[in-house]
Amino acid sequence: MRWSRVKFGALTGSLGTVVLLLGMGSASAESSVSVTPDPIPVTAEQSAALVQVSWSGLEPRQLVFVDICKKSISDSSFTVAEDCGAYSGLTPNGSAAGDGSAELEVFRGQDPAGELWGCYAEGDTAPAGVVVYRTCFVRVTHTVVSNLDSDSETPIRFVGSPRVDPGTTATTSAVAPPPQLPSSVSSSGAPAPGGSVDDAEALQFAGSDSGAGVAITG
Amino acid sequence: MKLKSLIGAALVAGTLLSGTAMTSMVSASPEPSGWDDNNDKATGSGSDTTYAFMQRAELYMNQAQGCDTDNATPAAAPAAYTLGDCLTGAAQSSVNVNGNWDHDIFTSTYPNGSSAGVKALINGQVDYARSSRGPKSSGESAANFWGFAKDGLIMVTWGNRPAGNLTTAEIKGIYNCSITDWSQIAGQAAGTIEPVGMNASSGTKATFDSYLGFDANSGACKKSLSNGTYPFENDLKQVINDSVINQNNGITWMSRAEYVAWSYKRQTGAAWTVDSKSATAGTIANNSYPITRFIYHVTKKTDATAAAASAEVTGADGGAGGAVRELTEFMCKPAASHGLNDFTGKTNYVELTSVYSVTGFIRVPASEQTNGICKLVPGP
Repeated sequence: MRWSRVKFGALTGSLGTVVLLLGMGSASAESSVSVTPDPIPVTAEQSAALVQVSWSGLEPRQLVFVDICKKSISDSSFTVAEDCGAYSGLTPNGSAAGDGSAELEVFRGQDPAGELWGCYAEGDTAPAGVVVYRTCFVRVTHTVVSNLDSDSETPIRFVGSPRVDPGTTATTSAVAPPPQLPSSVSSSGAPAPGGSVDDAEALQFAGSDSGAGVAITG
Repeated sequence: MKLKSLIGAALVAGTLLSGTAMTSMVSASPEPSGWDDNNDKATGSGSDTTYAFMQRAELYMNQAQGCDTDNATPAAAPAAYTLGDCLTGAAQSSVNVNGNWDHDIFTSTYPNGSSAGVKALINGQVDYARSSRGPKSSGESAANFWGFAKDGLIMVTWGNRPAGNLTTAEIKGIYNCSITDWSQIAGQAAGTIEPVGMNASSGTKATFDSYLGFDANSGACKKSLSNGTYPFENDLKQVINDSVINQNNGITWMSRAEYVAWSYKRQTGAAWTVDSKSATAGTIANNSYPITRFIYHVTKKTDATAAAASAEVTGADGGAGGAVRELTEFMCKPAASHGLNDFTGKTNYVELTSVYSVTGFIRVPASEQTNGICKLVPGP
């Protein structure tokens, strides 16, 4: 399912003629994006999944922004800063045709940046205080991440065995557990330079909270 | 801080405070803190890279809630000028200490490089500094470097050179001139590589030098602009418009945050992966991208330092130094300690989140914070 943000404008003439303007003349006004697989199968152990994101209709040769968001761009209150994951996006180079694809690691569970929301499969349990979204969105746009004029999105859902999310400790107190991907798929997690990752991972596995979150669907 | 402590103690003790008692509690400035009931003015200078972020953060600090102010028409004599200062005694009814209590005023000067800014701070010529590098091994022992964000350095080409992957060894080879032709890089058409240098006062250059292990400007093959100077950091306009640098064979590096945030500075630049890793917020946050760094708000140690095992920032009690102490706390403290912005109705934590988003930087992951706030790196 693809949802595009389409700009509508209306001019009413003296005879009551209504002229509907679609796209406002921009070549990228009707971008589209899809995710494969859809829905996303997950095992009970998985806290992330690799998906293929494909897009078209973006401004040629402009930087592309791919983000995971909790709220639809059709919601008038949508803002990238508040509604999309701070640590979960990609910025691939734009192509001459304005299309492309990229492999995206989609988190299942609390936002890796520690904000109090997450993307969950049916039956998953979230930590206390974390708002549960059974449907999240992959959003694409170009040029700047805040470009709301030619962005598009597709909903994503996880299907599979339920999981109890230990949670990402808040941005202000700790970090997310490393994503658990299927054994057949590499997470490409090279050791971090500087020795900080060992400490991070020690923290990541410390503490878990399986309290119930607040479910929001749609 | 006294006010916070008093209120906290009162709540813990379950004391029933009358309105009169509360009013009297806040009749003096909330000490010990950086506040002194006056609108102190503090100025920062330094990094180009962090300029846009700090300007926006200062805006929200300047707008933050605080004391009730003296709004009486000021007397003619300057010494009597108290317009905008905090009311005192029974006239003061505010208890809001989560913002900018005495409405101090913060301004960042136009960029002049991290090192120059830090030097001006240490000299006492400005009140705080912006730096896109950490402290030097000597000469900066009077300063605290508060890492408030993370960033990556990306390798960039332009023209019709398609972006691909570079290994760390290849990047070093390009800048030490042992790799001189693009045909030595997998998937690339032949052409003499033109590695572009960068102005020496840049923190972005210092970070890249540290990654390389040598001075990026030192190789015989390195390129400067047609006027003989090195370009300023993070702005591809200079190299793309330069008549000397081959548009299809040049390469440079820049802040990933600046690259994603500002299309005008990015121009037609294309980012390469390094060691097969894309520079994303996630790979920078978890350090799996090879070239990551913190960016810093820099203070005098005497003005702002971290309290042991606490998110509190301690330091100067008033004046511009005290104001810097409170700015530091504002930038670093957790969500629950922020108040509302009067113009948007959102918390200043959310507003700062939008600043991170707009400027391309990444909040410091909790695992790398000091006492649950910014990452503090004292000058050695």
